[in-house]
Amino acid sequence: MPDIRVTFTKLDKLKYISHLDLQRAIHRMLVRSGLPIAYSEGFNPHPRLNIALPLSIYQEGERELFDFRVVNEVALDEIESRLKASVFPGMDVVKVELAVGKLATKHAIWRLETVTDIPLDEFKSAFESAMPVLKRSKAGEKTVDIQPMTELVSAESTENGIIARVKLNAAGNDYLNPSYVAAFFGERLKLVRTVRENIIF
Amino acid sequence: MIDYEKYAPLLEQVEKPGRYVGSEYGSEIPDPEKADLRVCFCFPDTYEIGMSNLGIKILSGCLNNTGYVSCERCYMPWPDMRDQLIKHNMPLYALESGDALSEFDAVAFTLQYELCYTNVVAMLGLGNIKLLSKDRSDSDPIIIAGGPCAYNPEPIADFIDIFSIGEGEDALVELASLLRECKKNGVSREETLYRASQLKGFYVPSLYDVEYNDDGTIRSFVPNRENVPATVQKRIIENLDEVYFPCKCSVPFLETVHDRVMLEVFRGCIRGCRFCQAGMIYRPYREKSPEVLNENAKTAIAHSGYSEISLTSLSISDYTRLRELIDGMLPWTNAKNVNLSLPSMRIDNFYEELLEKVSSVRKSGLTFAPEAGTQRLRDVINKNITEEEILTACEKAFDGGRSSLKLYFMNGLPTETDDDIKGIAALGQSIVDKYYSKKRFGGGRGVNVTVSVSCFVPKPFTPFQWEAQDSIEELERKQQLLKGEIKTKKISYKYHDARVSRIEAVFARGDRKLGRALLEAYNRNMMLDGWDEYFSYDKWISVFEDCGIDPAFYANREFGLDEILPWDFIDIGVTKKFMKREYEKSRQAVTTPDCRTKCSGCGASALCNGKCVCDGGESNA
Ligand code: SF4
Repeated sequence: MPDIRVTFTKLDKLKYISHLDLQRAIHRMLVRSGLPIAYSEGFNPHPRLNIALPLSIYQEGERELFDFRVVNEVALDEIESRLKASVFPGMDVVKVELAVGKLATKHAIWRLETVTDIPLDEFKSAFESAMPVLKRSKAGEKTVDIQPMTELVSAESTENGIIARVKLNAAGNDYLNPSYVAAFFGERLKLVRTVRENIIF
Repeated sequence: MIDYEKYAPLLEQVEKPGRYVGSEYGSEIPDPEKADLRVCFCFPDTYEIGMSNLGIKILSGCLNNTGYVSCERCYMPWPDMRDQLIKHNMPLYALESGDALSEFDAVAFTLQYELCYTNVVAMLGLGNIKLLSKDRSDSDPIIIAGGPCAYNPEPIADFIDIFSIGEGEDALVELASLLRECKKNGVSREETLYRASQLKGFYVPSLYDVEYNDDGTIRSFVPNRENVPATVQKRIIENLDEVYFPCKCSVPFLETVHDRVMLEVFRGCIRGCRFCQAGMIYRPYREKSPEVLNENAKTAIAHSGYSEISLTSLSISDYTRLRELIDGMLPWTNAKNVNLSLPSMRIDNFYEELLEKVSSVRKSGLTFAPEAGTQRLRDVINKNITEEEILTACEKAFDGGRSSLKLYFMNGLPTETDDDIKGIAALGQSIVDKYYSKKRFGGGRGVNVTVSVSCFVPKPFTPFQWEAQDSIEELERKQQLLKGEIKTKKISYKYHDARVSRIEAVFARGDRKLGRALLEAYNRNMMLDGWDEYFSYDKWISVFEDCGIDPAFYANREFGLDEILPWDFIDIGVTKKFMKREYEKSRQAVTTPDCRTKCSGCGASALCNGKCVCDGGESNA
C-alpha cells in the first residue's frame, strides 16, 4: 500500500512540546491505533514516520502533515477512525489520504498574532521594501534581507495589536522561521501566538 | 480544562515548559468541581523523575477510582520556573487544574530519598502553604507523606500532618474516605488528624511528644492523647494479584527516566543483605502471578503505545515463575516490536537462554553487585555471592560475546579494612584476566570493567542501623587507596561524593530536631540537593552550625543497642530482636540463609497471618 498522508493539528498546550517530543508522541499514537504499521529496519525498530516540517516550541499548527506506511491493505476510513481514536490532547486528525508525491514543501502560511503599537499602514508597507534581520547560523551571524522570502497575505488591527497572515518560504534550505519577521520589527512588536495555518507544495 | 493563558508569560521564559503543562495522553482525571475531595499528589523532584515513579501512578489511580476524589499532580519546578513563579507572584500549581497547592483539601508527598526533603519544604512554600504543621488552620490543606523515607518520618515530621506507613493502595483510600467525611461534617483539623491516627498505618506527629536525654538521645517518645497507638504498624497488600495496576496511565511527551511500561513482579526480597533497607521494609516477599502480569502488560502496552516493558522488582531472578512469565510474554512482545528489559539478572543457564531470545537482554549492560571486595566482608554484609560465582558468570558472559560489565561496591562498610578495599581492585583484575585467559574474537578494544563504588550509609530498619558512617576523610582516603590499587586501564573506576552520602546519613537516621535545619535550609533557598549543581556541603554544614546541630551525632556515631531510636515506634513487621541478631552475626561474619532456603524468623510473617516464603514462617526466634 502507498504511504498514508495525515493532516493534523498541533494546538493548545502542544505548543510547549518540541518537535522531537511530538514525533515520539506520534509514534506511540500509531502503535496505539493497532494498525499494521511499517517499522524501520535495524537494532531498535520504530514506526516509519515522516513529518513534513518541524514546528518550533511555542508554535502551533492547524494543518500539519505526516506520512506513514502500513504493511497490509487497510481501508482509508478504517485508518482514519483508528487514528482518531488514538490522538492525544491538542492533536486532531483532520484528514487521511493516500500520499501523492513526496513531502516536498515550498511555502507555509502563518498567522502571527501580535501585540504592537505599530500602526497598521506602517506595518503593511514594511513588507514592500528590504527587511534586514540578523540571522544566526553555525557559520556565524550575518544580516539577511528576508523580504524576498516573505509575502504579506493580510493584516488587520486588533484591540492591542495586529493579526497578520504571511506566506514564508518553506523549502528545505530556504526555510524561514516566522520569528525573524517578528525580529525585524524589534522591540515594538511582541509575538503572542504563532500558528502555521497551511503548508503549500 | 484550565486556562493556561495566565501561565503563558512564565512558560515562555523557561527551558522545558512541557514539564509544567500536564495534558499528557491518558492524564484525564475526575472533574475537580464535582469531586468531594481534592488531592494533589506531589513528587519532590523534577517532572522527568516523578513521571517515572510507579508508586504515584498507582496511588493517584487508586484515588481517582474512588468516584469521589479528584487527584492531580505536581512536581518540583526547576529553578528557572521557580524564579518565574516568584517574579510573577504566582503560586506553584497542580498540572491539571492550574490551581495553587493551597487550594486542595489534601496535598500528598512521596519521599523517595532523604535529599528531597528540602524540595518538600520548597514546594509547600511555593504552593502558598504554611510550612509547619502546627501553624496550619482548618482552612489549610492536610499534608500527607509516604514512601520509603516515611519509615523514619522524624526529620521532616514538623512539616507533615499525617504519614502513611507502608503500602498505600488500601490505606490511602481509607484515609481519603475519612477526610471526605470530616470535610462534609465540618470536623476541625485537630479532630481530623486524631481520627486519622485511629486508622491502621497512619502516624500523626503532632500526637506524640519526644523528650531527650542530656546527650541528645531520646529519653521518651509517647502519645500525648488517649487511644493514640504507641506503635504504628505498616500496611501491606497481602494478595498482589488483586491490587490495582495502572493499565491506563499517562504517557509523557518529554523523555522521562523510565519512559516505558513498568511491571512490578513481586514486592519484598528473599535475601537479607544487612545494609539494605528495601530488603527489610518491604518484607514479606509476595509474588504476583504470571497470568495477571501478562494481562497487565498487554493492556498497558495497548493503551500507552509504549514499545518497552521493564520488570521492576528488586532481584528479578528470585521470581519463582520467571520462565513462565517470559515465555508467556515473548510471543506477543516480539510480534509487536515491544522490548522486554530485565534489570539485575543473575547469570545462570536461564539467563543464557534469554540472551538468545530477548534482544534487550543482549543490549542492556551486564551488572553485578558484589558490594564488597573480599569474601569475609561479603559474609559480614550477608551478600551471598562468592568470587567463584562471579568469575564463572563473567566467563559465561564473555563466552557469549560480551566484553563489558559493571560492578557495584560500597565502601565504608562495618568492619572494613584496607585489605577489603584492595580486594575490590583484585576482583576487578581477576575478571579482566578471565577475559584474556582465552583467545576471544570481536570488539577489538578488549574487555571493559566498570567499578562503581558508593559510600555506605547506615539506614533505619537494617541490621546496620546502629553503625557509624566513616568520616569524610576516611571515605576519601579509601577512595584514593582503591584508585592506587587499580593497575589496568581495562577497569574504569567511579565513586560517589562522600559529602553527599554524609548529608544523606544525617537525615536517614535523624530525629525531630532536624526540622530546624530543614526550615533554615529553606530560608537560605536550598533545594534540589539531589542535583550536583545545587548540592552544597558547605551550606549544609553552616546550617547545622547555626541551628546547633552536630551532624556527626547522626552520621558518625555508633548508636547504642539499647538506645530508643527515632523510628522505634514504627513496626515494619521485622522485629528489632531480629535486627540485633543479624547485627551480632555480622560481627562474627556469619551469614544468614535466604528466606527460601530457611526462614530466619524475622517476624514479617505476622503481617500475612503467619504465611510467608517458607510457608508457616517457622521461627527460630
Ligand atoms: S518470616 Fe521467615 S520467611 Fe518470612 S520474611 Fe521473615 S525470615 Fe523470611
